Amino acid sequence: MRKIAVVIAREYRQAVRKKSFLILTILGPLLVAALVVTPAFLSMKTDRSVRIAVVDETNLFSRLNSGNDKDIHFIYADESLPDLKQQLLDGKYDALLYVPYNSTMTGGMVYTAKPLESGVMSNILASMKENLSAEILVDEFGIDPDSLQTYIARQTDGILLGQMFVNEDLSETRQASYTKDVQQAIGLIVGLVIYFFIFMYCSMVLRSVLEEKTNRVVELIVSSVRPLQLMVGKIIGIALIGMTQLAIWIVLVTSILGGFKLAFPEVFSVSDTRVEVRQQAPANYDQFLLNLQQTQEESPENEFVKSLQTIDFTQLILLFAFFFVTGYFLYASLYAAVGAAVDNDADTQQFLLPLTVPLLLVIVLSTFITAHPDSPLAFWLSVIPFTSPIAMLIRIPFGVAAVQPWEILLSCVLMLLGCFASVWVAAKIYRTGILMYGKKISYKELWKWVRYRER
Amino acid sequence: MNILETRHISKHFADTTALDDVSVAVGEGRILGLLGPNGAGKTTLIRIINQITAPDAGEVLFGGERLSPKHIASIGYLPEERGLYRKMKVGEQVVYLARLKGVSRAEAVRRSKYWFEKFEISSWWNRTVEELSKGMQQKVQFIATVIHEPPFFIFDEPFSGFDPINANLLKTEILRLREKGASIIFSTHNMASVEEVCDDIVLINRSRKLMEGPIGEVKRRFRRHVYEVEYTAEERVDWAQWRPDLCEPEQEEAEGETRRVALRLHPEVSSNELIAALLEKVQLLAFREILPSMNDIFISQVQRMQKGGDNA
Repeated sequence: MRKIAVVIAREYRQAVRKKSFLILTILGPLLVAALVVTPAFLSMKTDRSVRIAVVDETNLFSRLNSGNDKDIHFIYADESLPDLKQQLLDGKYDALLYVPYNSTMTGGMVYTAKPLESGVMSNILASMKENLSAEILVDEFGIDPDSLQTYIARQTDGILLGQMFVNEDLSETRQASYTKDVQQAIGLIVGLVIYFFIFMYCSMVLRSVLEEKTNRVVELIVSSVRPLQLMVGKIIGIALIGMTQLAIWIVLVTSILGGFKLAFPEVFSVSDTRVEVRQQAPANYDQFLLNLQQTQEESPENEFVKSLQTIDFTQLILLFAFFFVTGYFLYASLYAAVGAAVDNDADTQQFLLPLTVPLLLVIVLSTFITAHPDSPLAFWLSVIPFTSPIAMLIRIPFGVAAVQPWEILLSCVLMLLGCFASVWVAAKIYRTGILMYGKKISYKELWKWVRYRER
Repeated sequence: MNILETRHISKHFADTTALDDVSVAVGEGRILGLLGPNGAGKTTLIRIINQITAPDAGEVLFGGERLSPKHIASIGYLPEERGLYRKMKVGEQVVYLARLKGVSRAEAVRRSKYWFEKFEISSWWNRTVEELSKGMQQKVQFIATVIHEPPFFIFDEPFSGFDPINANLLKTEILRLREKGASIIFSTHNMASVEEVCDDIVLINRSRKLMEGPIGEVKRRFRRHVYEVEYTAEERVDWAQWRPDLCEPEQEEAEGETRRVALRLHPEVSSNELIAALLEKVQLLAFREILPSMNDIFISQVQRMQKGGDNA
């Protein structure tokens, strides 16, 4: 055990001192930060044309135009309200303005599927105020043309605008429902983190083993420690490097993004349109909403937080740690075996391919898994040890609806078995391979090594 | 008392036999030359003693006990395939290798400093190995072999790749280790170094032990009863005609007045009889037996086995 610790310490210190470690540690977070910040910036600057479907039962607002803001387009639609709501979900429109016929009040409801950018709501309201149709007021509402100006002045102050979110299931809420998006995002992020970790640090294990072999230092080392100790020490040492790097990254990314948020708050603000409108609307706004729509009762808490709460984070973190460690061990031991079996970098390719394919496959299929987390394909990918570390974690955030507890248990048990099996197989290949030079190795040869009996 | 004994060791790989019933013993404070052509099984035997691989049959005793992991710290090993971590600092590397043998960090640092000073490479402590010349790397490798001060060493082809100066330094250090009481296995092809360094030898060929014994005894076992006679004489002696009943000449040479001849005695004749006969014939300056060199013995033995093997 003490010797494993010595091996771990060497592996760790050597790698941490390398320039490449320093560069990656600093560049990694910058890259991630750039990935987050750039789209936010771009969405601010580029095309943000907003298409608004208008259904006006009063005809008071038949001449809405975008005024100064050329990016807002009002489109008068003939379809029924439910059809239009469906089209909102399909992305044909960004918003739907509905002005119901109502004798006591003037106002409308804006339906959206996604939060609107800041300024859009006030723009709609401004446009409604400016383009109130005088003829309709006189003809339909019987307003005395003499007092029309006073009426309009009074009435425009009273125009109300509400906002409703249309969810996937066509239910309507006063706040956006993120549940599905959040689940998908968390699953994908967690899966990708594991994917990159396995890839990066397993190739580090491979290089370290190859270095020892090509330097011819390994025979001296294995006369002091058992090959299994050396292999395990190496794998653990590099895992610790990975964790150090991950910890530094988390700190750096959060501080970079935090600093950025402070410097450019507008880039990140998802406008709270309700507040915006409320500031401009008179006191009886809420009453109007009640009249306008039978709004279902909901708690005032933020939907985003609510959707996060649908995910069992204790479970997710525990499983993340479990699959992170076992997945890394499974692949790292096999990478170590490959490094021991060959003499140089060029020969590694043929053996690395079968180790790369399963991981790549899951990443390619990840969007399918998030779309159908309860499908048979998702199930099989998440119980087979080679793919389960990523596939299972993608499914976990969807909760019991998608993943039964017995599936998680099965996946964990198979993963543990797979992990032990691969370490066992790898150790056999490793102990023979590291002392073997100048021989072209085939799969048949490797199988022979696995079957050698020692002691 | 033997510090190390292997008893009836056999080791098979998938399609070859590396060792077949090989027993060797290293006496305390002695240097055993482990000889044999390439592929004879020397490296496998050495790996078994180092517990890198295990034998299929037979056992190894170390100081009378069955070989176990605790003995790892009692063996210093300079492998034939030797190298160092290229990117690692030299001093750190030696300390690391010592710690793997169970030496504490502080003690490892102290001893490394001592050896670096002794070999005059102290200024290289913080350099990486790739900056070192080959000769310097070899010094570092030697230090790594002895740093944990074990009572037993294995040097596998220690002189290969060494320049003459370093080879000599190494030889001196190996002999010094023996003086201090260490026992050593010395595996090599270099027969000249065997005669200079070894006390005993064991010859392995085709996974079997061919012969063994103290080096003087082995040489005497293969004596051909050839004696070198140094003499002066008035006139040239025709040795072939001289005493065919006693001996026949093999080689003659002259160096001014002094002449030399190698005479091979018939088996039943003693050297005293020859000297008596010579005294009557020539002015005798020197008389000594010519023993076969280890190189001759090695080649003749291996070739004989090859022939025997081919006939069988």
